[in-house]
Amino acid sequence: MHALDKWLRNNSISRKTFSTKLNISIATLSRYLSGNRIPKQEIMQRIIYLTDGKINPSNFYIIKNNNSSSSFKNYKNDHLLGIENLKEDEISSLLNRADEIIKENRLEPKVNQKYNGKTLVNLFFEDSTRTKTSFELAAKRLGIDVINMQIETSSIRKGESLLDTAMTLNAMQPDILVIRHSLSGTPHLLANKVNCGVINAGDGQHEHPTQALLDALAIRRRKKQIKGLKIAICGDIAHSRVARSNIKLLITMGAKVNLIAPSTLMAEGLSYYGANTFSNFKEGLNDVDIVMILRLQRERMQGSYIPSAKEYFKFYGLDREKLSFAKSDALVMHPGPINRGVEIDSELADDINRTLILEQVELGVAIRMSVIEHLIHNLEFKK
Amino acid sequence: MIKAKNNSKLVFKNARIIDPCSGFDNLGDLIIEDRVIKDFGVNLLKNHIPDDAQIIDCERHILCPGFIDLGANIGEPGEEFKENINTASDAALASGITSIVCMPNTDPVIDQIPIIQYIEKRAKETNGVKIYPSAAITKNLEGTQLTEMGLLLEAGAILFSEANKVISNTKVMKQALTYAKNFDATIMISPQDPDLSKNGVMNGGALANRLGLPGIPKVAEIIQIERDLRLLESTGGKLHFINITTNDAIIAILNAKNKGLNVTCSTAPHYFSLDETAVDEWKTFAKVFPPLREYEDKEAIYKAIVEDKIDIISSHHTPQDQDSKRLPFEQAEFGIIGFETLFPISLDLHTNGKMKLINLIDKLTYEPAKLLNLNTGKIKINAPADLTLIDINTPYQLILENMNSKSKNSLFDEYNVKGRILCTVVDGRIVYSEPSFEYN
Repeated sequence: MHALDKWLRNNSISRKTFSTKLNISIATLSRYLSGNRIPKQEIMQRIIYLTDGKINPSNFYIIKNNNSSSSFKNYKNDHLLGIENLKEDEISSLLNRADEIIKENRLEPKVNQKYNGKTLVNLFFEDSTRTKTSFELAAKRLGIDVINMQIETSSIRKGESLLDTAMTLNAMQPDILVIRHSLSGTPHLLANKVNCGVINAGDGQHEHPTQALLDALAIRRRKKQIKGLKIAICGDIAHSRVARSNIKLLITMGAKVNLIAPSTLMAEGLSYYGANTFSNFKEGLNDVDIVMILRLQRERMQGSYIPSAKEYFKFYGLDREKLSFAKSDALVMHPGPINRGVEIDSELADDINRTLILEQVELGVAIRMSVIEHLIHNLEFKK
Repeated sequence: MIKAKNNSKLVFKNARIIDPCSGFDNLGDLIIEDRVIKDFGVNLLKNHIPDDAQIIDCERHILCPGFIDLGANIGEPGEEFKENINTASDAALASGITSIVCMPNTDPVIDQIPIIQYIEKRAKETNGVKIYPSAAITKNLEGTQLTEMGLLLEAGAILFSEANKVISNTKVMKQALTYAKNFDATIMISPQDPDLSKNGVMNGGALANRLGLPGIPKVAEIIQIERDLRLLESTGGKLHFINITTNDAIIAILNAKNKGLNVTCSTAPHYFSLDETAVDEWKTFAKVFPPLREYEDKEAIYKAIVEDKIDIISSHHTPQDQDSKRLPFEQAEFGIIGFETLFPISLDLHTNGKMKLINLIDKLTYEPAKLLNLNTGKIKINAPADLTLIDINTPYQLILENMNSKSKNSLFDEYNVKGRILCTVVDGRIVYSEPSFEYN
C-alpha cells in the first residue's frame, strides 16, 4: 500500500476529499497511488503541506518497499561522473537500491510505467557492447525510452563537434545522458553544459564508476560486506579507468587494496588513496579474498610496456597455481571482455565456482537501474 | 589604448627612475627629445624646464626601461583569429612591454626571409610595440635541415628557436649550435625531451594519474637540458633555455655557467605563481607547455629568481581562442596569455619575495636586452626612449574581460595585484596611457 494511502486511512480522509483539496481528479490521485504517475511540483508541494510533511517526494519513487525509502536520500548528485568524492553512504545507497531491484525481480521483463516518458541517451564515442547494452536494458526495464548514438571514432578526432553535439542533444531534453569517451574529463565537461543527469560510462583513463559499483555489488553479495576484505587488482593499472574507480570505491568502503602490475604498467601516485603496490604477483596475492583481473589492451602487448603476451601471462596472468597464493575461497573477477591466455587462464575463467565474471554482467543491469532511478529522483526533486 | 602623439619633446618629472643597467635608482626627472633619452637625473629641472616640452608629473611612480619579452606568440601569420599584431601590440603596450620577440611556430613557419619581411611590414603598419621575429632553427621546425641562418639574420631575425619543440636529432642540434656560432647567433630552446613528453598534457605524476591524463614527467626537462649543455660544451656558442620549470634544470644551468658556458635561462610568471593543482578538474586554461609542475617546483623557481639563478622573466604569451580551449583536456591547445599579467604577477617577487625592485626590473629589461644585443632596455643618454611608468602601490584587480589580448585565456582573472602600468613610451612617443592617469 502506498504511504499516502496509509496516511489517508489513518487520518480518515477519503481519496475524493483529498483529491478535491489538491484540485485534481480522483483518477489522477489513484494514478499517483498506484505509482503510474508522479505528482508535478505544485501538487507535490500541496501534498507535503496537507500531510504536514509526512508524505514527501521519496514516497512516490519507491513503491514496494517502504523500509528502503531512506536509501535514496544519501545520494544527492544530479550526475554520476566518478567514484572520487563519493562517500560511503552514497555508494551504499546506490548498492542497496540495486539489491532491492534484484529482490523485486525487476530484472525480469515486465511493463513498468513509473518512468514512462523519460528519455535516456546513450552517447558512445568509443566502441562498447556490454556497457551500452547494459544501460539500454536497464533503462528499458524502467520503462524509459532509449536513444543510442554511436559516434564514429574518426569524427571525434576533430573534437569541435563535441560540445555542439551535447547542446543539440540537450535541446531534445533528455532526462539522462550516458556518455563514454576516450578522453578523460569529457563527462564533466558535458555535465556543465547540459540540463539533464549525466552518467559517466567510462572516460579515457579516468573513471568507469558503474563498473566499480557493479563489482562492489558482486563482492558484497558473495562476501556479505566489503569492509575488511583484502582485494587484489592486477594488470594494466596505469591505463585502466576500471582500476581507478575500483581503487577509490573499495578503499572508501573499507577494503584493503593490493595493486599488482609490472612496473611499466603501474601508475605512480595511486597509493594516494591508500593502496599497496606490488610487482610480484604472488606476494600481492597473499591472503586476498578477491582477485580482480584487468583487461590488457592489445596495443600494450608489444612495444615498451611489456615485451610479449607470452611473457605477460607467465608472470602476471592468473592461473590456478598463482591463485593458490590467495585465500582458498578467493573469488576471481574480470570486467570483460577477456583475453584468454593473456591475463587469465582460459579454463579458470570458465570455472563458475571461482569466478564471478558472468554474474558481474548480470548485476550491471541492476546497478545501472539503481543509478538511473537515483538521478531521475534527484532531478525531479530539484524541479 | 594607443594615443598617437608626436611631441618630439617629453619630460617626465618627479619619477623614481630605476635603471638596472647602471644601477640608478633615484627620484628624478627624464627628458626625451627626438626619440631618444636626452638627459636624466636628480633635480634635473631645477634650473631649466624646457618650455616647449610636454611635461608629465610622475608622482613618484616608477619610471624604468620598457620590458623586453622573449618568446611571445602574436598570432601572425596564420592564427589571426587568436591574436593579431594590432591586438598583441595593444596588449603588450598596456603591459609596459616595448619590445617582443615573436616565436617562429607560425603558419607558415618563420624559416624564410619573406616571412620575416612580412612580420616587419605588419609591425611597421601597427607602429606600436617593437617586434623582433625569431626564426626557426630547422626548416619547417622539422628538426632535420638547418635554415639559412646568416640570411635570416640579415633580414632581421633576432635569434633562432624551435618554439615549443626541441631538436631531437643530437647531430642536427650539434650542427645548429656550431653553425650559429659563425654569426654569433643565439639558439633558444624550450627544453622538454620529445619522447618523454609525447602525448603528455600535464605534469606527470600523481595528479595526472588521478585525472586519467597522460603526463609529461619532470625528468623530460633535465634530460634535454643536460644533452644540450653537453653539446654546447663541445661546440661553444650561445644557448638560451626558455620556460624553465624545475629545480634540477636550475642546478644544471648554474653548473654550466660556472664552467664558463655561454648559457642563460628564463621562466614565465605562471611557473612561479601556479602549480599543477590549477588543472583542478580538467581546466584547460591551466594546460600550458611545459606543464605547470608541483608545488615544490613552483617554490624552487620562485626562489631561483630571487637568488638570481634565473636570468630573465618572459610572458610566454600564448593566446588561444575559446574553441581551442573549450574541449576535452587532451584535445585543448596549450597556452596562456601572459602580457598583461607579466609585471603584476612578477611584482610578488618584490613584495613578498623580498627581491630588490631593481633586480626584478633587470630580469624584464636589461637582461633580455643583453641576450638579444639590443640597444634598449636601459636608461642611458642617447638610447631609444623605450620606457614604462608603473604604480607599484595601488592595489587593483586583474579582469580578464578588460585585457587587450584578442584571446582571453588567462588563469589570473580576478587576481588582486599591484603594479599597474600607467604609461608606456616607445621611441619617445606615448603609445599607451592608463585611462585614469592624467598626465597633461
